Amino acid sequence: MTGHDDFDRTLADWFEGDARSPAPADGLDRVLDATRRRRPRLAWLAGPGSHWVGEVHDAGSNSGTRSLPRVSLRWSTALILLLVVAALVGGAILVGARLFQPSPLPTGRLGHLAYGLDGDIFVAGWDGRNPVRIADGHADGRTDCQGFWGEGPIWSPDGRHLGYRSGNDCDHSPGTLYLSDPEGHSVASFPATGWLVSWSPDSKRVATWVDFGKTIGIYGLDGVRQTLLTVPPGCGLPGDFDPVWSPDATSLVIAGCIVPVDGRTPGRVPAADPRSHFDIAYSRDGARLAYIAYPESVSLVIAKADGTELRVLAGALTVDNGGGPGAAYEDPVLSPTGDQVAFIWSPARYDLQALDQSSSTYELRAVDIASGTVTTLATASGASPLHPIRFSPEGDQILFSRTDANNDTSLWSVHVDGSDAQLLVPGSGWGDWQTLPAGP
Amino acid sequence: MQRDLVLRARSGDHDAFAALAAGAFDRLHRTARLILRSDELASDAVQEALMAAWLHIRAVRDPDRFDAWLHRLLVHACYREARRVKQREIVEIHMIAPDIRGSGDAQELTAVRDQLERGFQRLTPEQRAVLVIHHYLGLPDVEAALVLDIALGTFKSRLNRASAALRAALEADERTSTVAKESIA
Repeated sequence: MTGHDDFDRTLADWFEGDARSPAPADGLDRVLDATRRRRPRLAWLAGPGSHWVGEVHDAGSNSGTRSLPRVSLRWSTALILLLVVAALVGGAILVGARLFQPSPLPTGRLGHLAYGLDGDIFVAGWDGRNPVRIADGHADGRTDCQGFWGEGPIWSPDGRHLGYRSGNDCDHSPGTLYLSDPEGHSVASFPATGWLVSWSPDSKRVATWVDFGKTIGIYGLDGVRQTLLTVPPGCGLPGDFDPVWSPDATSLVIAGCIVPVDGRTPGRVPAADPRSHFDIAYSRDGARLAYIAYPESVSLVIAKADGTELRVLAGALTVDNGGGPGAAYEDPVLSPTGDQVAFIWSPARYDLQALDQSSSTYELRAVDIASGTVTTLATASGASPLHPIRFSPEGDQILFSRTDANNDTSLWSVHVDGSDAQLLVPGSGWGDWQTLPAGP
Repeated sequence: MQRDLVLRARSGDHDAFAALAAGAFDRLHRTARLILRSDELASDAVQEALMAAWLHIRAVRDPDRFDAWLHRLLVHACYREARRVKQREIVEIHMIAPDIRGSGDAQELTAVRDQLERGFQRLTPEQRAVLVIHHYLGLPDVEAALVLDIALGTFKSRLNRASAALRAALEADERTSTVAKESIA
């Protein structure tokens, strides 16, 4: 084994022979199980993609794949956007005084925690104690099926019903959405696909994809489909978004596309409308909203429903607008009275280091809108490891999920001042707190 | 076909991603096992790479480059596994059952494989990766450099250094073996 050719051939033969051992039979199943319940991240949050693979050809150099987007060519765009952000911040300062109005009283009290675990649905005390399985996802004895899961919100706004889904891994059907009472007695079920359960504000209807990205069904609590709405291709932003009810329940919003529930023609939301952006979330009374300023940037914007009274937490520009380092905001959740917003913060998304997801840092934070005070509530590393789910009705605690480096999930609660973090349910990736009517 | 699957997976179709993963799984596992010299570590690396691929599938702008992108995720996952195992100092040794009825050629082949195994273990994960990408996957140099996330020149020099390091390790092993045989004699 001295000549070059012999060496190369021997090495190649050794690799070939050594690689003949079969991969573990259950390995692929484990991977697919792990990925099935995770939603792909949007492109602008997804780190370097295949466009990095290949830039070396275009560059005509041997500089590898480390050429970041050329910010210098987009100064004009960046300048305009900076002016827009500055105007928004200025607007927030000018109208800020009105934000210091006392917050309304809580609209309810904390009830039970509902969550999915190993394909079953459980209802427990708010802190995860005394769990009761109310839906058995493997009652038919098939443990190879996905069972039930609920990405949320599981509870209807009035706290009287639960909504959860079953997947399609057994019979390759589109999936089913189940409605039940808190004891698990089935109220209705119907074919449905998607992720979130979209309860109407009055808790009497549910909107869900029937054919993903194409048609939305609105179902009553009796399981009867009241309306089938068609979404035109390209109406919303690219991505797998679920419909979100407008506070007045007259329309559904799907990331920039507004679909009237009375059957009028859907259309793109005008760019000046906050609903043209991504990740829009409303306070319980619909008076305030928060969204990510995508596609311009990954800033967090908090506004009144009419778009005024803004507070902006400035994030990085998106790649199409110049990119570059900077914080990224995602997953805003408003408190019931709209005086606080919980969200996920992460640093410098658009450098190549983001490829190493194990070292990416994410923080669950909350901002008090009146004072602008930002508090870090939890920190984690990995690929999308934290998700705020819901404030307690009193607004003093936040329910959130956590995924560790081994893809093990858990549900946690923490007070809005960052104190008293509690592990509620190990192994669950999503749960939801019930809101009960205020009073004893 | 694969392009269509990538496009569907990019729009959130998990079945399409499952088909892509199934098509790539064996190759990914073999590649990872060659780099990491351990089935267990290879499984972890492949799981991490495919999880990253699903979470970041929307970043795939060119569906035709999905394979290269996936291999790059795998190589990065292998580096992380190698760093992790280095901290634990665990090495899994593959035992090859001796063929006692084997001919002299077979015994010699087994000896060469053992020698290669020992020599390969002495290389850094980066050196192992460059050899595996070049000699096992057989990618063109430009594409191999992209998969390894290094410049073309760096790839070439790293390939030369890795080859030289393996040769040196094998020669050292051979000398040790000769000395041992002389001592026994």
